[in-house]
Amino acid sequence: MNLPVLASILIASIAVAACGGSKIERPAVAYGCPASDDKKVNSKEDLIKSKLEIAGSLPNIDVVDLRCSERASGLRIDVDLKNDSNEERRIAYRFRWLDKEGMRAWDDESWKPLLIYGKTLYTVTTMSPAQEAVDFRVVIMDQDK
Amino acid sequence: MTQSPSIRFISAFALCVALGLSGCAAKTRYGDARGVETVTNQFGSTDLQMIAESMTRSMLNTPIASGGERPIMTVQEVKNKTSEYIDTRAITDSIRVELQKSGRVRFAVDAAAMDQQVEELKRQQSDYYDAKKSTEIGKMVGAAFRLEGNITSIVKEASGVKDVYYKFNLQLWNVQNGLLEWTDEKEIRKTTSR
Repeated sequence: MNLPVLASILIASIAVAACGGSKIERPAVAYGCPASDDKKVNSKEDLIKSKLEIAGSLPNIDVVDLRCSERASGLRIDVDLKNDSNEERRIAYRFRWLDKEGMRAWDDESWKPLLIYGKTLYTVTTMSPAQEAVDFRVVIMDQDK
Repeated sequence: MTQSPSIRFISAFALCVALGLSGCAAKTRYGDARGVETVTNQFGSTDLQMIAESMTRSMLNTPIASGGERPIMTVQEVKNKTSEYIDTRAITDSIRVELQKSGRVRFAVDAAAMDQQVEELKRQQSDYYDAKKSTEIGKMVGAAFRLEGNITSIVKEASGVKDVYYKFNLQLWNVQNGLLEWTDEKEIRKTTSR
């Protein structure tokens, strides 16, 4: 092997090592969202089920879609909530952030009250609060009771 | 011993009053500090927490905070333009906590804490301290960006309905060139009806 080739390999190796050192490890991905838990995700419905936690009961409110996007600033999440009733519904939601090992990566968020008009869809949007927060759960609670 | 009907009635009445009063005793329980608070429609803990979280997440999404260089910021005043008393320092403190915890920005000492900072620097220059281990004067780092904002409200009341609308606006200014690098708003509406 001649000298320029050796030099190129050396530079490339250093560059790869430098990039690898600062990168945050991320869990496996299903439908664009992190899927680090053991639950098998074979469909979008499975993904929603694995990410959703309902505190108590929540009649007439459905999570109809969940989208994730990895950005330079962190994980961006959109959650589509649909009110199936004709009446307006009041709920509260928050996100729970986990690191790659499933440990809590951020303090409890505040519950955010939300009004959804009858027969409409509302998209809740958030960003991960820190680089370590690579996975999440969305928690929803009824506020009409 | 037998009691007259009137004595029995008074005894029963006294017992009922005692039981009633014990039922009125104040009961204290711990609650969820992050829960939705709707005791009144004045500015409350849920509003403060929602504003801080919304502003922080929005700012972390900007190239300034996500570029990996950990820019140095300072917090200036958030003006309270509402008709009620709001501790705006509590809002900016919460925003600063969330931003600092994210690990993506750093904060330089702000104007409110400058006196204490200068006092400590001066104290370490005294003869009581080992000069080799004391901090040096002239090494403080200035902020590249400053945060300032305001909160306004519109209150309307009619026929037993009170509607309060809050708008919180936060801005990130470049200290060097005076450019507005980022700004965002959070709106909150609360309605109380009798």
